[in-house]
Amino acid sequence: MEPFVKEPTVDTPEVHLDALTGTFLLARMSLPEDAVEFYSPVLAWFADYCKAPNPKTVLEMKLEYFNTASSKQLIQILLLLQSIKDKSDITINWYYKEIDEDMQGLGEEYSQIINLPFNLIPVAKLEK
Amino acid sequence: MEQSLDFIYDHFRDIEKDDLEYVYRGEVTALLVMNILELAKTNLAKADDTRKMRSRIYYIMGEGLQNITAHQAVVGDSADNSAIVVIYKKRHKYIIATGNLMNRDSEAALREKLETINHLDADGLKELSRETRTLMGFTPEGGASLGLIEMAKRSGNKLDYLIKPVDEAHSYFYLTTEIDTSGGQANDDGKEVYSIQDLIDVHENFNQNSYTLSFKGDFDQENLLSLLSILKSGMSETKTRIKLYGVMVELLQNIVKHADNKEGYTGWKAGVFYIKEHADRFSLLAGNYVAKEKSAALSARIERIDSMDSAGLSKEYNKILFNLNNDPVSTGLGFIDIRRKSGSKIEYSLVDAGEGRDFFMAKVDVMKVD
Repeated sequence: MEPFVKEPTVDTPEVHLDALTGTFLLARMSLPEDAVEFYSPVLAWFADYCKAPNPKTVLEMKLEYFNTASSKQLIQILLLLQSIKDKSDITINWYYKEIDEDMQGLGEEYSQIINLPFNLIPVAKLEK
Repeated sequence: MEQSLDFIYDHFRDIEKDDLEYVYRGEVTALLVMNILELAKTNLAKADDTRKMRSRIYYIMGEGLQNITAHQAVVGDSADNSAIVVIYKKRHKYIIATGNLMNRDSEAALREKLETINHLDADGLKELSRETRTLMGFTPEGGASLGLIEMAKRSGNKLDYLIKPVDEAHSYFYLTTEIDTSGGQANDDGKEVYSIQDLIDVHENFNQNSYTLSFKGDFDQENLLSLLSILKSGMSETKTRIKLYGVMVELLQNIVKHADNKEGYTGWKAGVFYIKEHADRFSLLAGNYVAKEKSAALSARIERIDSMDSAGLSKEYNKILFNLNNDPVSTGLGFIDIRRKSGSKIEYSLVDAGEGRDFFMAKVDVMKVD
């Protein structure tokens, strides 16, 4: 399966998805004008991955900020992963800056509404 | 009693396509200068001026802004301690207007420089520019006066200024430079579109009402990103800034996505946005046109969201989050997110703006939590 790599811009995140190396990363900022357009190839990649997932899948969520339009797309990614939890051992690592109460709150909320193990990881600075 | 929001429409209503009014009050740092120039550049690229004209305007703005960082004096808790920057465009005229505190002992020298510059014609300015460049390595202030000379030379206009005493040691230095992209050809009787008095009035209004920023013009994604960068460069990263950032994105993207347009304003979305800073909170205010037939649904929606408590907001957020309609324009989450992040109610108002449109105004308070 081909990896999916997108470099970050001021308003779109870095996306690095590679089933071969087991890399599943979303990082930095996500506030595109059209979130549906931006995330549709990302969702397509995950849909494809879900057909034959690795035994283990660790999604590294290192987003510094995402707008509400992006949140609807991100939930779709989480739902796709939830749908294959019998086929792959899935973990969501949800990183957030220690001072960011909103990102922490969202992580807590998503961990309750998505039936997958979440690690909420506070960090001083969000590294790549 | 809280002030009604209708002043927003009064400030907004004279806007015409391609107009721009950006005002910033605060400390002017090199990073901020860069971000303001970026905002100016984005908007210049949209206007139909020639490339040569655009780079001239950009250059003059850069000089005007750097002039502040070179000259501004710093005093304790004076209300006038902060600088003011105005970037204004009305039809074919651009204005860069700045104000900053200076030491009174440099007043005479500055006045003399400005008078010398204003009494020279184009050839005289060229000559003075050349002389000053040669001397630059020798006088510490050479760079700054070269900035003023270049502004006069490239704008083709006099530098309009006023030096107003503040206290025994300080004055406030106001400067406006006008660039007429029609080269004086447009028929407006040479009327000034932005005077020194306009600048002083804006400065007083900003001081009295605690504004730190206002933006009136086109709301597109690029301008939104520039305004966000300006917010970030003017404030260190705190819990409050994170909240402000989040509320600002949703409030502004709301305009980018939902604002109604006037006839013939295709590709240009008029709106207005302000930030106020009080001792305990920030207030974000925004305004834009909405089609009359959508007004009732909009106010019903805000009333409903305003009436919810945090549990209700969380429930509503999750309900919409899982709703699979992929409407790229509206997720329905924006106002809920604004309420949750700010912890405040959304104050709003709608006034008739004619031609089947209302003008929608909203205010959200973000408490300082650090």
